[in-house]
Amino acid sequence: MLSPKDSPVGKQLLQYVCARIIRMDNVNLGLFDYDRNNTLFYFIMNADQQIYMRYGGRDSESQDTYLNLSSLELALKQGLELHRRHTSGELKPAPAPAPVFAKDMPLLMERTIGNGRCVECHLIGDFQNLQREKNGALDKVAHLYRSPDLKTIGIQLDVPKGLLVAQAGGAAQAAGMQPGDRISAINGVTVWTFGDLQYQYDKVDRKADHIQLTVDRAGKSVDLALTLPPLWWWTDVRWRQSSVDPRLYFEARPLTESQKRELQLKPGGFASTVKSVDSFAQMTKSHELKVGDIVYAVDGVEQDDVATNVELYIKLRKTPGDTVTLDVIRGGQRMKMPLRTYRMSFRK
Amino acid sequence: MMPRDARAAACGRQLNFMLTRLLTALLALAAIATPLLAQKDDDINWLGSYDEAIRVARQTGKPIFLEFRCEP
Repeated sequence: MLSPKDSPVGKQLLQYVCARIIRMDNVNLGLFDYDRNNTLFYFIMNADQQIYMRYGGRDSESQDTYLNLSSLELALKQGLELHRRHTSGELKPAPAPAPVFAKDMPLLMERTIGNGRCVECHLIGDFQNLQREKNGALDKVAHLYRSPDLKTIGIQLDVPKGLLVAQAGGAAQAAGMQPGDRISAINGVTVWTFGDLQYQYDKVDRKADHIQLTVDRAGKSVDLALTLPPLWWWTDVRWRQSSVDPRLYFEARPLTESQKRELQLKPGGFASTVKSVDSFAQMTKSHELKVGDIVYAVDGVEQDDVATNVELYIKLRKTPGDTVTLDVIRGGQRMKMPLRTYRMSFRK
Repeated sequence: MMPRDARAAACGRQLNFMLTRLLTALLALAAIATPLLAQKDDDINWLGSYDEAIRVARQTGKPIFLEFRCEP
């Protein structure tokens, strides 16, 4: 990080011991838990290994969306205040999470250290999921669809000002959130930064239908009960290097209920219209779908209690490498066609 | 007049000599410039070890700012 000593951030950093970690081989992953697909992530803590806050996080659009020098300066100042409280005994220490190290993950060890390679952040998340897939413990809704987007529930932050709400729409507005509110807690857990908020939001049970957000408004603390919309946890995960995400090489848009009725398709089913086909589909001979095709069943299944479109159904319910049979309507004619999914290949 | 092979050999030796001098000059320049660049980039002292950060934090009473950097 380029931070001259006389810059606003530099002046704060001089009051810290700064350390940069680029290898995860001996890192306590249980303590330093965060979404491993972040290029940069920060912890503000003390020498007793108590974490005051996390700084970082991103969305599917960019790794930089929520990184900002002004908000970092705010976080560093708050960190100093928390450290002062810790030193004076005012801060109650939180229980330490169970330690986890790379050596505790057999698949990760085998493919990295076992091959003379170092353990990189993004590999940890991927191999954790591969291990879960191998053990039959993978819950893609929770383990693949990480770090739900606040914008899905209508929260637009004034990023340079940390957790200050710039705009509140959708579910957030319905719960009473207002521009100018400063988010201070989620489900009773104090948050100081976007990194904190996204981390705690990621822990919300995917079956949950509401959360509680606490905001500071004109000097007062206000609790807001926010109803979560369907698929509140969904984000575009294609930017993630994730081996458990089947590559499909097409995108689809769900049909409306009236469109399904017109075509005599199952009400509430995931029938969808293909809106784009990736050129990789032809290169890999994955499938022969065309834009405009309507896919209404996968291996005879037309409905799912989570997936509302065919693309999401295959991603959630199928393993990369599976070949499935699609029921398709093209030009008024019904047909079946195979689709072969692929496992993403990247440097490991 | 030198035979063609001898001329080529002489040119090759001269080229090698010039390249060597150029490389030496570049290395010398880098040796001078690198600390300056590093100084600009390293106004803040970044430790490369977590254990060392803990040790210094205990010694100084300062909090720790820990960066995890991962390039996929």
